[in-house]
Amino acid sequence: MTRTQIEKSTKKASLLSLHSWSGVVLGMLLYAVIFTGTVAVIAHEIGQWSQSQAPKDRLRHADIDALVRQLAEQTDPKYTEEISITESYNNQLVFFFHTHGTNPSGALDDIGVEYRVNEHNEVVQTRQGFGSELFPTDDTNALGRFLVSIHTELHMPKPWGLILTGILGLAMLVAAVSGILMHRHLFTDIFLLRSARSGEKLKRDAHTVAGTWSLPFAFLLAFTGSFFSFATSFGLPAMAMVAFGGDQKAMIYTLVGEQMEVSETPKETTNLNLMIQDASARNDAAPNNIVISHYNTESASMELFFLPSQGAIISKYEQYNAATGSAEGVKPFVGTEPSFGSLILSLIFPVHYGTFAGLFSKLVWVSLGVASCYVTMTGLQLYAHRRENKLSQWQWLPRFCHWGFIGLPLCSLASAVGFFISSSLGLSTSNWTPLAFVIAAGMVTILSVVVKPITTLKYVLLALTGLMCISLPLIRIALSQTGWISAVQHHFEAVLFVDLSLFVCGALCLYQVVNYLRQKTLSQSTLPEAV
Amino acid sequence: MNHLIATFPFIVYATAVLILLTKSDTRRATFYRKIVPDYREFRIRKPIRMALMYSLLVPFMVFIVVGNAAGFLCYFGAITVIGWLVAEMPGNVI
Repeated sequence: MTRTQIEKSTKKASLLSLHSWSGVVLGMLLYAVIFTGTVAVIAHEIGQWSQSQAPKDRLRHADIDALVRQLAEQTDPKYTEEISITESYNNQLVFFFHTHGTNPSGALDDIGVEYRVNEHNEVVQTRQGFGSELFPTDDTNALGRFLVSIHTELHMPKPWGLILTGILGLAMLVAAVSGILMHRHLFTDIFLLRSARSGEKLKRDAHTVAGTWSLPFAFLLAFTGSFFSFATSFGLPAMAMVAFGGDQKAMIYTLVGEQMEVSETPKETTNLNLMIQDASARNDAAPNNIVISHYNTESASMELFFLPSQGAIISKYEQYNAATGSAEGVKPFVGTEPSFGSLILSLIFPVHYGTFAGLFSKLVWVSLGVASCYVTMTGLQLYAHRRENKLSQWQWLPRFCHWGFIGLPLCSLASAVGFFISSSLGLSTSNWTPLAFVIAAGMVTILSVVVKPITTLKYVLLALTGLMCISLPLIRIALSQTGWISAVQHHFEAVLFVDLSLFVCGALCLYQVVNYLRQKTLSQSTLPEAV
Repeated sequence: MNHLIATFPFIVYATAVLILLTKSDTRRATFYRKIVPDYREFRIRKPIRMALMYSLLVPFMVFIVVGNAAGFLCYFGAITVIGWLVAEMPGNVI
């Protein structure tokens, strides 16, 4: 062996080691983040599906002006500094009259009164408190919020969850780069999956083929994901420290582009409905949410957030001078003037979540998520397979793989069951959705310890996942009375999309189980003949 | 929906090209020839394979020219997933 060959071989071994260890140490957490990220892509549809109520675009069609006037009269004037208006998944309009303050934990927060208004324009719920207390207890979005929170923070306290998911994004980048460098035939093997083989070769091929195809998006998603995590947990506080002398409020005002000098001179705000109709007509869509600042003053303004229009990727903030009713154009994502930095920042969210072309782009992004999950799974399984026969201390790894890879989807489905049951019983879905997940996780852990044959464990978990997938749409239909015919009549695509996806996933899981049982029966019946 | 409808013909084209590239891959053919008894080999000359491969980039140019950024990203994501799924097909299918 020449010196160059020895050097090359050493480099390859080092890269393999880096690739393997970044995968083994953080692989299961990375899988958890990627799997829940795949679910997070359709979090909006899951929210609609969980409530089974077709969206009615009430932000466009309701008499928002009359409602704001009525609610402002009964609200402490200090909370009219900012009014955010959204439509919940059960078609209620949510008005949050608030100002800005510091919560008991010392963080900047919104504080005010939240009103929920039903379709008959009646206030059905009033709550007062900090935004950080009110939003996490919104029962209408408990399921989607719970699943998204696993993706963004792994349900860990701030900022540690964000830092960990940021590190996981970097680990994904490290694995992608080391994977490219150490694989000599990366692109020539792009079509070669030796499916007739079994064991290590098949696992390696599966890992390489899926990894190579999803490589560009692995970079894209890992980078944008890390950016989200680190920007919130580390980047923004650091920027406040350096550029604003630690004044986070001044930094937020500059970034958001809020008016620094505000006139509190009373002046009646113009009809909000006219501005909403104007913006909706220009964007040919209903706004996603509305924010009114300094209501009934000379400095009153209104911002309407719209999802991307045809062919575009970036969402839009339409801005109005609410004192005069005049349109002030599209507000940049960051700051007050259009900039390259603002453009890049505004691209990060849609590119990470695929929220720019409705269900079509989301379907593509979900598929990319599945491919990335598959790469993580096959990578860890390959590592486990290489060691299970050689070293006794690695015997736990294949069991751990089944526990995590099948257990996480199973527990997520259980949380949806918990959501539906608690909702139908009138209990707090915000409490019972995570609790159902934890109970299911406990049961999966017990099963993983009790069921000794590893193949049996795999198929027991798969069978449970399949059954849960198929039963969830049936539970939803039974509890909500919104069937598929009604969904088609009301153009309620989210319900059809999620129900059908669950049926397909359930059928795939059960097909694998039936196939396994058939092969097992066949091998048992042919065994005596062979003997 | 128009910008999405515009991406469909390109996605269909890319699927056909990816199937052809997979079917005519020499390394894949070498492997499946040994294990699939009636494996039908499909050969395409290397320059044509290269031309087919580069033709997958043409839709990107079209999307840039017409300013369909959403179509650009959707097409990019779709060929990634379709390429993976086609490569996953066993030798007796593709």
